[in-house]
Amino acid sequence: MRRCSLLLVLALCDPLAVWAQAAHQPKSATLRQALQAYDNLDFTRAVALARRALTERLSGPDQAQTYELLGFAFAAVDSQAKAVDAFKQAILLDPDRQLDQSKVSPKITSLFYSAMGQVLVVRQLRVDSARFIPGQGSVPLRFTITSPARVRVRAVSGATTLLVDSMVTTGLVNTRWTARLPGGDPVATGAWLIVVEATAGQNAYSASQALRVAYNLVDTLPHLTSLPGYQELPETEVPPQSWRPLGLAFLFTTATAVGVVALHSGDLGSAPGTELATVGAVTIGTGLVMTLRKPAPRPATGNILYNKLLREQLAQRNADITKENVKRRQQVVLSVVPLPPPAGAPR
Amino acid sequence: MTRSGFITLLGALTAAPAAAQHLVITPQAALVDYGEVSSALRFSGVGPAVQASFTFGRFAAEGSFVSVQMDPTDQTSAAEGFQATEIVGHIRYEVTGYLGLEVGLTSRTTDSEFAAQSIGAASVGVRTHYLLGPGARVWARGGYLAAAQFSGGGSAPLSFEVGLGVDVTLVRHVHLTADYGFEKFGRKTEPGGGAEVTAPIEQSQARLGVAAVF
Repeated sequence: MRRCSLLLVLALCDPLAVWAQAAHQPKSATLRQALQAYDNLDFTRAVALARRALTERLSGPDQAQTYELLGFAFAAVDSQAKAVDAFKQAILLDPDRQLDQSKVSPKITSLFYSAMGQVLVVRQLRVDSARFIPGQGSVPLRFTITSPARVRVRAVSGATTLLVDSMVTTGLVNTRWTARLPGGDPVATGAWLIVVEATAGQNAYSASQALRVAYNLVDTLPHLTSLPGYQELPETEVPPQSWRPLGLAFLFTTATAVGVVALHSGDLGSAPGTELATVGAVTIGTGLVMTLRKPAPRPATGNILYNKLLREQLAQRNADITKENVKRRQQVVLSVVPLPPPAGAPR
Repeated sequence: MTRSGFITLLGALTAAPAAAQHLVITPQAALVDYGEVSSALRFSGVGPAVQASFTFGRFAAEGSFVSVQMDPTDQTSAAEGFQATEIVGHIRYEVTGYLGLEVGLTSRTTDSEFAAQSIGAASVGVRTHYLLGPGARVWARGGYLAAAQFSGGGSAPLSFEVGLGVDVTLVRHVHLTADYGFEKFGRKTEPGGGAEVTAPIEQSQARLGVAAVF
Protein backbone atom coordinates (compact mmCIF):
# COMPACT_ATOMS: atom_id res chain seq x y z
CA MET A 1 0.00 0.00 0.00
CA ARG A 2 2.79 2.42 0.98
CA ARG A 3 4.68 1.56 -2.20
CA CYS A 4 1.54 2.16 -4.28
CA SER A 5 0.92 5.53 -2.73
CA LEU A 6 4.56 6.55 -3.23
CA LEU A 7 4.40 5.60 -6.89
CA LEU A 8 1.26 7.63 -7.21
CA VAL A 9 2.96 10.62 -5.67
CA LEU A 10 5.99 10.21 -7.88
CA ALA A 11 3.78 9.93 -10.91
CA LEU A 12 2.02 13.12 -9.93
CA CYS A 13 5.28 15.00 -9.44
CA ASP A 14 6.39 14.76 -13.09
CA PRO A 15 9.98 13.54 -12.85
CA LEU A 16 10.95 15.19 -16.13
CA ALA A 17 10.13 18.54 -14.68
CA VAL A 18 12.26 17.71 -11.66
CA TRP A 19 15.30 17.08 -13.81
CA ALA A 20 14.49 20.08 -15.98
CA GLN A 21 14.70 22.40 -12.97
CA ALA A 22 18.33 21.39 -12.65
CA ALA A 23 18.89 23.12 -16.00
CA HIS A 24 21.67 20.68 -16.68
CA GLN A 25 21.81 18.30 -19.63
CA PRO A 26 23.93 15.30 -18.61
CA LYS A 27 26.85 14.44 -20.87
CA SER A 28 27.05 10.86 -19.70
CA ALA A 29 24.95 8.52 -21.86
CA THR A 30 24.63 6.09 -18.97
CA LEU A 31 23.24 8.85 -16.79
CA ARG A 32 20.75 9.81 -19.48
CA GLN A 33 19.62 6.14 -19.65
CA ALA A 34 19.28 6.05 -15.89
CA LEU A 35 17.14 9.20 -15.96
CA GLN A 36 14.99 7.66 -18.68
CA ALA A 37 14.56 4.48 -16.63
CA TYR A 38 13.49 6.62 -13.65
CA ASP A 39 11.02 8.43 -15.84
CA ASN A 40 9.65 5.05 -16.88
CA LEU A 41 9.26 4.19 -13.19
CA ASP A 42 11.83 1.42 -13.58
CA PHE A 43 13.61 2.31 -10.36
CA THR A 44 15.71 -0.83 -10.10
CA ARG A 45 17.14 -0.26 -13.53
CA ALA A 46 17.59 3.41 -12.75
CA VAL A 47 19.67 2.50 -9.65
CA ALA A 48 21.76 0.03 -11.61
CA LEU A 49 22.44 2.48 -14.44
CA ALA A 50 23.26 5.27 -12.00
CA ARG A 51 25.75 3.08 -10.17
CA ARG A 52 27.31 2.15 -13.46
CA ALA A 53 27.54 5.81 -14.39
CA LEU A 54 29.41 6.53 -11.17
CA THR A 55 32.12 4.12 -12.27
CA GLU A 56 32.67 6.25 -15.36
CA ARG A 57 34.59 9.55 -15.53
CA LEU A 58 31.80 12.03 -14.87
CA SER A 59 31.92 15.76 -14.69
CA GLY A 60 31.14 17.34 -11.33
CA PRO A 61 27.58 18.35 -12.25
CA ASP A 62 26.92 14.92 -13.79
CA GLN A 63 28.26 13.27 -10.67
CA ALA A 64 26.04 15.37 -8.41
CA GLN A 65 23.02 14.68 -10.60
CA THR A 66 23.78 10.93 -10.57
CA TYR A 67 23.79 10.88 -6.76
CA GLU A 68 20.60 12.89 -6.69
CA LEU A 69 18.96 10.41 -9.09
CA LEU A 70 20.10 7.60 -6.82
CA GLY A 71 18.52 9.39 -3.91
CA PHE A 72 15.23 9.75 -5.80
CA ALA A 73 15.34 6.09 -6.89
CA PHE A 74 16.21 4.74 -3.43
CA ALA A 75 13.45 6.86 -1.95
CA ALA A 76 11.05 5.38 -4.50
CA VAL A 77 11.94 1.88 -3.43
CA ASP A 78 11.80 2.79 0.25
CA SER A 79 15.54 2.53 0.84
CA GLN A 80 15.59 5.66 2.94
CA ALA A 81 19.06 5.26 4.45
CA LYS A 82 20.56 4.77 1.02
CA ALA A 83 18.54 7.68 -0.30
CA VAL A 84 19.91 9.94 2.44
CA ASP A 85 23.47 8.76 1.75
CA ALA A 86 23.03 9.49 -1.95
CA PHE A 87 21.61 12.94 -1.24
CA LYS A 88 24.54 13.67 1.12
CA GLN A 89 26.96 12.90 -1.69
CA ALA A 90 24.97 15.11 -4.05
CA ILE A 91 24.99 17.96 -1.53
CA LEU A 92 28.70 17.64 -0.87
CA LEU A 93 29.36 17.79 -4.59
CA ASP A 94 26.97 20.68 -5.20
CA PRO A 95 26.11 22.42 -1.93
CA ASP A 96 23.81 24.92 -3.64
CA ARG A 97 21.64 22.17 -5.06
CA GLN A 98 17.96 22.60 -4.16
CA LEU A 99 14.77 20.71 -4.77
CA ASP A 100 11.68 22.34 -6.11
CA GLN A 101 9.24 21.57 -3.32
CA SER A 102 6.28 22.22 -5.58
CA LYS A 103 7.35 19.42 -7.93
CA VAL A 104 9.02 16.91 -5.62
CA SER A 105 7.12 14.76 -3.18
CA PRO A 106 7.30 15.76 0.49
CA LYS A 107 8.87 12.42 1.34
CA ILE A 108 11.81 12.97 -1.01
CA THR A 109 12.14 16.56 0.11
CA SER A 110 12.21 15.40 3.70
CA LEU A 111 14.94 12.88 2.95
CA PHE A 112 16.89 15.55 1.09
CA TYR A 113 16.80 17.95 4.03
CA SER A 114 17.61 15.11 6.39
CA ALA A 115 20.72 14.48 4.34
CA MET A 116 21.55 18.18 4.38
CA GLY A 117 21.43 18.23 8.18
CA GLN A 118 23.93 15.40 8.31
CA VAL A 119 26.63 17.08 6.29
CA LEU A 120 28.51 20.30 6.89
CA VAL A 121 28.46 22.60 3.89
CA VAL A 122 28.25 26.30 3.24
CA ARG A 123 25.35 26.95 0.93
CA GLN A 124 24.07 29.84 -1.06
CA LEU A 125 26.98 32.19 -0.38
CA ARG A 126 25.78 35.49 -1.79
CA VAL A 127 27.51 38.84 -1.93
CA ASP A 128 25.45 41.85 -2.98
CA SER A 129 26.82 44.63 -5.12
CA ALA A 130 27.54 47.69 -3.03
CA ARG A 131 28.74 51.23 -3.49
CA PHE A 132 29.70 53.24 -0.44
CA ILE A 133 32.23 55.53 1.18
CA PRO A 134 34.54 53.56 3.47
CA GLY A 135 33.32 53.92 7.02
CA GLN A 136 29.82 54.81 5.90
CA GLY A 137 28.69 51.51 4.46
CA SER A 138 29.50 47.85 3.98
CA VAL A 139 29.04 44.87 1.70
CA PRO A 140 26.16 42.56 2.71
CA LEU A 141 27.12 38.88 2.85
CA ARG A 142 24.77 35.96 3.47
CA PHE A 143 25.10 32.21 3.44
CA THR A 144 23.66 29.11 5.06
CA ILE A 145 25.47 26.67 7.31
CA THR A 146 23.77 23.28 7.18
CA SER A 147 24.82 22.09 10.65
CA PRO A 148 26.27 23.74 13.77
CA ALA A 149 29.86 24.78 13.18
CA ARG A 150 32.46 27.41 13.95
CA VAL A 151 32.41 29.77 11.03
CA ARG A 152 35.09 32.23 9.95
CA VAL A 153 34.54 34.66 7.14
CA ARG A 154 37.65 36.15 5.54
CA ALA A 155 38.39 38.52 2.70
CA VAL A 156 41.50 37.56 0.77
CA SER A 157 43.43 39.37 -1.90
CA GLY A 158 46.94 38.23 -2.68
CA ALA A 159 48.87 38.17 0.57
CA THR A 160 46.26 40.25 2.37
CA THR A 161 43.80 38.40 4.57
CA LEU A 162 41.18 40.24 6.58
CA LEU A 163 38.90 38.61 9.10
CA VAL A 164 35.34 39.70 8.37
CA ASP A 165 33.45 37.76 11.02
CA SER A 166 33.74 34.75 13.28
CA MET A 167 30.92 32.87 15.01
CA VAL A 168 29.47 29.53 16.03
CA THR A 169 26.20 29.18 14.21
CA THR A 170 23.91 27.22 11.97
CA GLY A 171 21.28 28.17 9.44
CA LEU A 172 21.06 31.44 7.56
CA VAL A 173 23.81 33.93 8.39
CA ASN A 174 23.81 37.62 7.49
CA THR A 175 27.00 39.58 8.00
CA ARG A 176 28.77 42.58 6.52
CA TRP A 177 32.22 43.41 5.18
CA THR A 178 33.31 46.98 5.81
CA ALA A 179 36.05 46.73 3.16
CA ARG A 180 38.50 48.57 5.40
CA LEU A 181 41.94 47.68 6.55
CA PRO A 182 42.62 47.49 10.30
CA GLY A 183 44.02 51.03 10.13
CA GLY A 184 40.74 52.31 8.70
CA ASP A 185 41.92 52.83 5.13
CA PRO A 186 39.87 51.35 2.32
CA VAL A 187 40.97 48.02 0.93
CA ALA A 188 43.00 47.99 -2.25
CA THR A 189 41.28 47.81 -5.59
CA GLY A 190 41.28 44.59 -7.59
CA ALA A 191 40.08 41.05 -7.13
CA TRP A 192 39.08 39.87 -3.70
CA LEU A 193 37.74 36.56 -2.47
CA ILE A 194 35.23 36.17 0.33
CA VAL A 195 35.99 32.84 1.96
CA VAL A 196 33.59 31.21 4.41
CA GLU A 197 35.12 28.37 6.39
CA ALA A 198 32.97 26.14 8.57
CA THR A 199 34.53 23.67 11.00
CA ALA A 200 32.79 21.13 13.23
CA GLY A 201 35.08 18.52 14.78
CA GLN A 202 36.83 16.70 11.99
CA ASN A 203 34.50 18.10 9.36
CA ALA A 204 35.40 21.27 7.54
CA TYR A 205 33.97 22.99 4.54
CA SER A 206 34.64 26.23 2.80
CA ALA A 207 32.98 28.26 0.09
CA SER A 208 34.12 31.37 -1.64
CA GLN A 209 32.85 34.19 -3.79
CA ALA A 210 35.04 36.35 -5.98
CA LEU A 211 34.58 40.14 -5.93
CA ARG A 212 35.97 43.05 -7.77
CA VAL A 213 36.67 46.22 -5.75
CA ALA A 214 37.06 49.52 -7.56
CA TYR A 215 37.50 53.12 -6.49
CA ASN A 216 35.23 55.87 -7.78
CA LEU A 217 35.13 59.56 -7.11
CA VAL A 218 32.61 60.70 -4.56
CA ASP A 219 29.83 62.78 -6.05
CA THR A 220 30.06 66.37 -4.89
CA LEU A 221 27.01 68.31 -3.82
CA PRO A 222 25.69 71.12 -6.03
CA HIS A 223 25.54 74.57 -4.50
CA LEU A 224 22.12 75.96 -3.72
CA THR A 225 20.68 78.97 -5.45
CA SER A 226 17.72 79.10 -3.11
CA LEU A 227 16.49 77.41 0.00
CA PRO A 228 13.83 74.83 -0.87
CA GLY A 229 10.44 76.05 0.29
CA TYR A 230 11.59 79.60 0.92
CA GLN A 231 11.41 82.50 -1.51
CA GLU A 232 12.69 86.02 -1.22
CA LEU A 233 10.05 88.67 -0.62
CA PRO A 234 9.86 91.99 -2.49
CA GLU A 235 12.04 94.55 -0.72
CA THR A 236 9.89 97.49 -1.67
CA GLU A 237 6.20 98.11 -1.22
CA VAL A 238 3.92 100.72 -2.70
CA PRO A 239 2.38 102.76 0.12
CA PRO A 240 -1.29 103.62 -0.02
CA GLN A 241 -2.39 106.88 -1.66
CA SER A 242 -1.97 109.80 0.74
CA TRP A 243 -3.16 113.41 0.92
CA ARG A 244 -0.02 114.30 2.86
CA PRO A 245 1.80 116.06 -0.04
CA LEU A 246 -1.15 118.37 -0.68
CA GLY A 247 -1.58 118.94 3.03
CA LEU A 248 2.07 119.84 3.47
CA ALA A 249 2.03 122.20 0.49
CA PHE A 250 -1.11 123.86 1.81
CA LEU A 251 0.35 124.11 5.30
CA PHE A 252 3.60 125.71 4.12
CA THR A 253 1.76 128.15 1.86
CA THR A 254 -0.69 129.09 4.56
CA ALA A 255 2.04 129.55 7.16
CA THR A 256 3.94 131.85 4.82
CA ALA A 257 0.78 133.83 4.03
CA VAL A 258 0.03 134.21 7.72
CA GLY A 259 3.58 135.45 8.25
CA VAL A 260 3.25 137.97 5.44
CA VAL A 261 -0.06 139.27 6.73
CA ALA A 262 1.34 139.52 10.25
CA LEU A 263 4.42 141.42 9.12
CA HIS A 264 2.66 143.64 6.62
CA SER A 265 2.43 147.30 7.60
CA GLY A 266 -0.99 148.83 7.03
CA ASP A 267 0.63 152.15 6.12
CA LEU A 268 1.75 150.61 2.84
CA GLY A 269 -1.73 149.79 1.64
CA SER A 270 -2.93 146.34 0.76
CA ALA A 271 -0.60 143.42 1.33
CA PRO A 272 1.30 142.33 -1.76
CA GLY A 273 -0.47 139.24 -3.08
CA THR A 274 0.55 138.50 -6.63
CA GLU A 275 3.99 137.11 -5.82
CA LEU A 276 2.80 134.92 -2.95
CA ALA A 277 -0.19 133.76 -4.98
CA THR A 278 2.09 132.77 -7.85
CA VAL A 279 4.51 130.74 -5.76
CA GLY A 280 1.73 129.45 -3.50
CA ALA A 281 -0.17 128.18 -6.54
CA VAL A 282 2.92 126.40 -7.82
CA THR A 283 3.49 124.87 -4.37
CA ILE A 284 -0.08 123.69 -3.90
CA GLY A 285 -0.16 122.47 -7.51
CA THR A 286 2.96 120.44 -6.86
CA GLY A 287 1.39 119.01 -3.71
CA LEU A 288 -1.75 118.07 -5.65
CA VAL A 289 0.27 116.37 -8.38
CA MET A 290 2.26 114.43 -5.81
CA THR A 291 -0.95 113.41 -4.07
CA LEU A 292 -2.55 112.15 -7.27
CA ARG A 293 0.61 110.51 -8.50
CA LYS A 294 1.15 106.82 -7.83
CA PRO A 295 3.23 106.68 -4.66
CA ALA A 296 6.84 105.66 -5.09
CA PRO A 297 7.78 102.27 -3.73
CA ARG A 298 9.40 102.43 -0.34
CA PRO A 299 11.64 99.91 1.38
CA ALA A 300 9.79 97.12 3.18
CA THR A 301 11.90 96.77 6.31
CA GLY A 302 10.45 93.44 7.41
CA ASN A 303 10.97 91.87 4.01
CA ILE A 304 14.49 93.25 3.78
CA LEU A 305 15.37 91.69 7.12
CA TYR A 306 13.71 88.42 6.08
CA ASN A 307 15.65 88.35 2.81
CA LYS A 308 18.86 89.15 4.64
CA LEU A 309 18.26 86.25 6.99
CA LEU A 310 17.43 84.00 4.03
CA ARG A 311 20.61 85.00 2.21
CA GLU A 312 22.66 84.38 5.36
CA GLN A 313 21.11 80.95 5.70
CA LEU A 314 21.78 80.22 2.02
CA ALA A 315 25.37 81.39 2.36
CA GLN A 316 25.77 79.21 5.46
CA ARG A 317 24.34 76.19 3.64
CA ASN A 318 26.60 76.77 0.66
CA ALA A 319 29.59 77.18 2.99
CA ASP A 320 28.68 73.84 4.57
CA ILE A 321 28.35 72.30 1.12
CA THR A 322 31.75 73.68 0.15
CA LYS A 323 33.28 72.14 3.27
CA GLU A 324 31.52 68.87 2.59
CA ASN A 325 32.72 68.88 -1.03
CA VAL A 326 36.29 69.51 0.09
CA LYS A 327 35.95 66.47 2.35
CA ARG A 328 34.32 64.43 -0.40
CA ARG A 329 37.06 65.23 -2.89
CA GLN A 330 39.47 63.60 -0.46
CA GLN A 331 37.33 60.46 -0.26
CA VAL A 332 36.59 57.58 -2.62
CA VAL A 333 33.56 55.48 -3.20
CA LEU A 334 34.21 51.78 -3.05
CA SER A 335 32.37 49.87 -5.74
CA VAL A 336 32.09 46.16 -4.93
CA VAL A 337 30.74 43.81 -7.58
CA PRO A 338 30.52 40.01 -7.17
CA LEU A 339 32.06 38.07 -10.03
CA PRO A 340 30.27 35.10 -11.62
CA PRO A 341 31.66 31.65 -10.78
CA PRO A 342 34.02 30.14 -13.31
CA ALA A 343 32.37 28.18 -16.14
CA GLY A 344 31.78 24.51 -15.30
CA ALA A 345 31.68 25.02 -11.57
CA PRO A 346 28.70 23.33 -9.84
CA ARG A 347 25.76 25.57 -9.23
CA MET B 1 44.84 130.91 7.10
CA THR B 2 48.03 128.99 7.52
CA ARG B 3 49.23 126.65 4.82
CA SER B 4 48.60 123.58 7.03
CA GLY B 5 45.07 124.79 7.78
CA PHE B 6 44.39 125.29 4.12
CA ILE B 7 45.68 121.82 3.29
CA THR B 8 43.52 120.33 6.04
CA LEU B 9 40.42 122.11 4.71
CA LEU B 10 41.24 121.03 1.17
CA GLY B 11 41.68 117.45 2.34
CA ALA B 12 38.36 117.53 4.16
CA LEU B 13 36.64 118.87 1.07
CA THR B 14 38.08 116.28 -1.26
CA ALA B 15 37.52 113.46 1.22
CA ALA B 16 33.78 114.08 1.34
CA PRO B 17 31.70 111.67 -0.71
CA ALA B 18 30.87 113.02 -4.13
CA ALA B 19 27.21 112.15 -3.63
CA ALA B 20 26.98 114.71 -0.82
CA GLN B 21 28.04 117.59 -3.07
CA HIS B 22 25.67 119.44 -5.35
CA LEU B 23 26.09 122.55 -7.39
CA VAL B 24 22.88 124.16 -8.57
CA ILE B 25 22.63 127.11 -10.94
CA THR B 26 19.19 128.53 -11.53
CA PRO B 27 18.33 131.24 -14.06
CA GLN B 28 15.11 132.83 -12.92
CA ALA B 29 12.49 135.39 -13.73
CA ALA B 30 11.72 137.66 -10.79
CA LEU B 31 8.47 139.44 -10.02
CA VAL B 32 8.92 142.12 -7.37
CA ASP B 33 6.64 144.40 -5.40
CA TYR B 34 8.22 147.16 -3.31
CA GLY B 35 6.65 149.63 -0.92
CA GLU B 36 8.10 152.31 1.28
CA VAL B 37 6.75 154.73 3.94
CA SER B 38 3.15 154.76 2.71
CA SER B 39 0.84 153.37 0.11
CA ALA B 40 1.81 156.31 -2.11
CA LEU B 41 5.20 154.77 -2.79
CA ARG B 42 4.56 151.37 -4.36
CA PHE B 43 6.61 149.92 -7.18
CA SER B 44 6.55 146.70 -9.06
CA GLY B 45 8.69 145.16 -11.73
CA VAL B 46 9.84 142.10 -13.55
CA GLY B 47 13.44 141.18 -14.25
CA PRO B 48 16.03 138.52 -14.56
CA ALA B 49 17.63 136.75 -11.64
CA VAL B 50 20.09 134.00 -11.08
CA GLN B 51 20.61 131.84 -8.08
CA ALA B 52 23.45 129.49 -7.29
CA SER B 53 23.90 127.07 -4.43
CA PHE B 54 26.50 124.59 -3.38
CA THR B 55 25.75 121.80 -0.96
CA PHE B 56 28.50 120.02 0.87
CA GLY B 57 27.30 117.46 3.35
CA ARG B 58 25.26 119.32 5.96
CA PHE B 59 26.47 122.70 4.80
CA ALA B 60 25.01 124.74 1.98
CA ALA B 61 25.90 128.11 0.55
CA GLU B 62 23.39 130.07 -1.52
CA GLY B 63 23.63 133.27 -3.42
CA SER B 64 21.25 135.14 -5.67
CA PHE B 65 21.38 138.15 -7.91
CA VAL B 66 18.31 140.04 -9.05
CA SER B 67 18.14 143.10 -11.26
CA VAL B 68 14.69 144.57 -11.74
CA GLN B 69 13.42 147.77 -13.25
CA MET B 70 10.86 148.97 -10.70
CA ASP B 71 8.03 151.15 -11.94
CA PRO B 72 5.43 152.99 -9.88
CA THR B 73 2.14 151.25 -9.59
CA ASP B 74 -1.05 152.87 -10.79
CA GLN B 75 -2.21 153.66 -7.27
CA THR B 76 0.87 155.66 -6.26
CA SER B 77 2.05 159.21 -6.66
CA ALA B 78 5.68 158.34 -7.40
CA ALA B 79 6.89 160.06 -10.52
CA GLU B 80 9.76 157.84 -11.58
CA GLY B 81 10.94 154.30 -11.27
CA PHE B 82 14.36 152.96 -10.50
CA GLN B 83 16.66 150.05 -11.22
CA ALA B 84 17.01 147.79 -8.19
CA THR B 85 19.88 145.38 -7.84
CA GLU B 86 19.78 142.81 -5.07
CA ILE B 87 22.49 140.45 -3.94
CA VAL B 88 21.73 137.93 -1.20
CA GLY B 89 23.97 135.32 0.33
CA HIS B 90 23.19 132.59 2.87
CA ILE B 91 25.13 129.86 4.59
CA ARG B 92 23.05 127.06 6.01
CA TYR B 93 23.75 124.15 8.33
CA GLU B 94 21.29 121.28 8.33
CA VAL B 95 20.69 120.43 11.98
CA THR B 96 18.27 117.60 11.21
CA GLY B 97 16.91 116.07 8.07
CA TYR B 98 14.30 118.80 7.76
CA LEU B 99 15.57 121.82 9.70
CA GLY B 100 18.54 124.07 9.00
CA LEU B 101 20.00 127.21 10.56
CA GLU B 102 20.91 130.09 8.27
CA VAL B 103 22.97 133.23 8.43
CA GLY B 104 23.32 135.64 5.56
CA LEU B 105 23.73 139.09 4.11
CA THR B 106 21.33 141.11 2.02
CA SER B 107 22.24 144.08 -0.13
CA ARG B 108 19.82 146.00 -2.30
CA THR B 109 20.90 149.08 -4.19
CA THR B 110 19.02 151.46 -6.41
CA ASP B 111 20.26 153.69 -9.18
CA SER B 112 18.14 156.57 -7.92
CA GLU B 113 18.89 157.63 -4.39
CA PHE B 114 15.73 159.72 -4.20
CA ALA B 115 13.34 157.10 -5.52
CA ALA B 116 14.00 154.30 -3.01
CA GLN B 117 16.30 153.30 -0.21
CA SER B 118 19.38 151.24 -0.69
CA ILE B 119 19.49 148.61 2.07
CA GLY B 120 22.04 146.35 3.64
CA ALA B 121 21.35 143.86 6.44
CA ALA B 122 22.46 140.65 8.04
CA SER B 123 20.03 137.82 8.55
CA VAL B 124 19.71 134.96 11.01
CA GLY B 125 16.98 132.40 10.62
CA VAL B 126 15.79 128.85 10.14
CA ARG B 127 14.70 126.95 7.09
CA THR B 128 12.61 123.80 7.09
CA HIS B 129 11.90 121.52 4.19
CA TYR B 130 9.87 118.38 3.51
CA LEU B 131 9.58 115.92 0.70
CA LEU B 132 6.23 116.14 -1.04
CA GLY B 133 7.01 113.08 -3.09
CA PRO B 134 9.69 111.63 -5.31
CA GLY B 135 11.78 114.58 -6.53
CA ALA B 136 9.54 117.28 -5.05
CA ARG B 137 10.48 119.31 -2.01
CA VAL B 138 8.78 122.25 -0.31
CA TRP B 139 10.57 124.62 2.02
CA ALA B 140 9.84 127.64 4.15
CA ARG B 141 12.11 130.04 5.91
CA GLY B 142 11.85 132.74 8.55
CA GLY B 143 14.50 135.06 9.84
CA TYR B 144 15.44 138.17 11.63
CA LEU B 145 17.09 140.97 9.67
CA ALA B 146 19.69 142.52 11.89
CA ALA B 147 21.86 145.61 11.66
CA ALA B 148 19.94 147.05 8.76
CA GLN B 149 21.56 150.03 7.08
CA PHE B 150 19.70 152.46 4.83
CA SER B 151 21.02 155.00 2.35
CA GLY B 152 18.62 157.55 3.80
CA GLY B 153 19.61 156.79 7.36
CA GLY B 154 17.50 155.45 10.17
CA SER B 155 17.32 152.11 11.89
CA ALA B 156 15.11 149.08 11.76
CA PRO B 157 15.36 147.03 14.95
CA LEU B 158 12.26 144.98 14.08
CA SER B 159 12.90 143.58 10.64
CA PHE B 160 11.96 140.11 9.48
CA GLU B 161 11.78 137.97 6.43
CA VAL B 162 9.71 134.92 5.48
CA GLY B 163 10.01 132.72 2.45
CA LEU B 164 8.40 129.82 0.67
CA GLY B 165 9.68 127.66 -2.12
CA VAL B 166 9.20 124.44 -4.02
CA ASP B 167 11.67 122.41 -6.02
CA VAL B 168 10.49 119.76 -8.49
CA THR B 169 12.80 117.42 -10.38
CA LEU B 170 11.83 117.39 -14.03
CA VAL B 171 14.65 115.15 -15.17
CA ARG B 172 17.79 114.06 -13.39
CA HIS B 173 19.77 117.29 -13.74
CA VAL B 174 16.96 119.73 -14.34
CA HIS B 175 14.67 121.06 -11.62
CA LEU B 176 11.80 123.50 -11.69
CA THR B 177 11.97 126.03 -8.85
CA ALA B 178 9.60 128.62 -7.45
CA ASP B 179 10.76 130.87 -4.58
CA TYR B 180 8.93 133.54 -2.66
CA GLY B 181 10.51 136.00 -0.26
CA PHE B 182 8.97 138.74 1.84
CA GLU B 183 11.07 141.29 3.73
CA LYS B 184 9.76 143.77 6.22
CA PHE B 185 12.02 146.51 7.58
CA GLY B 186 10.42 148.43 10.48
CA ARG B 187 12.48 151.47 9.68
CA LYS B 188 12.40 154.49 11.95
CA THR B 189 14.06 157.76 11.12
CA GLU B 190 14.32 161.26 12.43
CA PRO B 191 14.06 163.56 9.41
CA GLY B 192 15.87 166.88 9.96
CA GLY B 193 16.71 165.91 13.56
CA GLY B 194 13.07 166.13 14.49
CA ALA B 195 10.72 163.58 15.98
CA GLU B 196 11.11 159.95 15.12
CA VAL B 197 8.79 158.77 12.39
CA THR B 198 8.03 155.32 11.14
CA ALA B 199 9.02 154.64 7.53
CA PRO B 200 8.42 150.92 6.91
CA ILE B 201 9.88 149.19 3.88
CA GLU B 202 8.50 145.98 2.41
CA GLN B 203 9.49 143.89 -0.51
CA SER B 204 7.70 140.90 -1.91
CA GLN B 205 9.54 138.85 -4.48
CA ALA B 206 8.59 135.77 -6.50
CA ARG B 207 11.09 133.95 -8.65
CA LEU B 208 10.43 131.16 -11.10
CA GLY B 209 13.29 129.31 -12.69
CA VAL B 210 14.74 126.17 -14.13
CA ALA B 211 17.72 124.82 -12.24
CA ALA B 212 20.66 122.91 -13.56
CA VAL B 213 21.89 120.47 -10.94
CA PHE B 214 25.41 119.05 -11.02
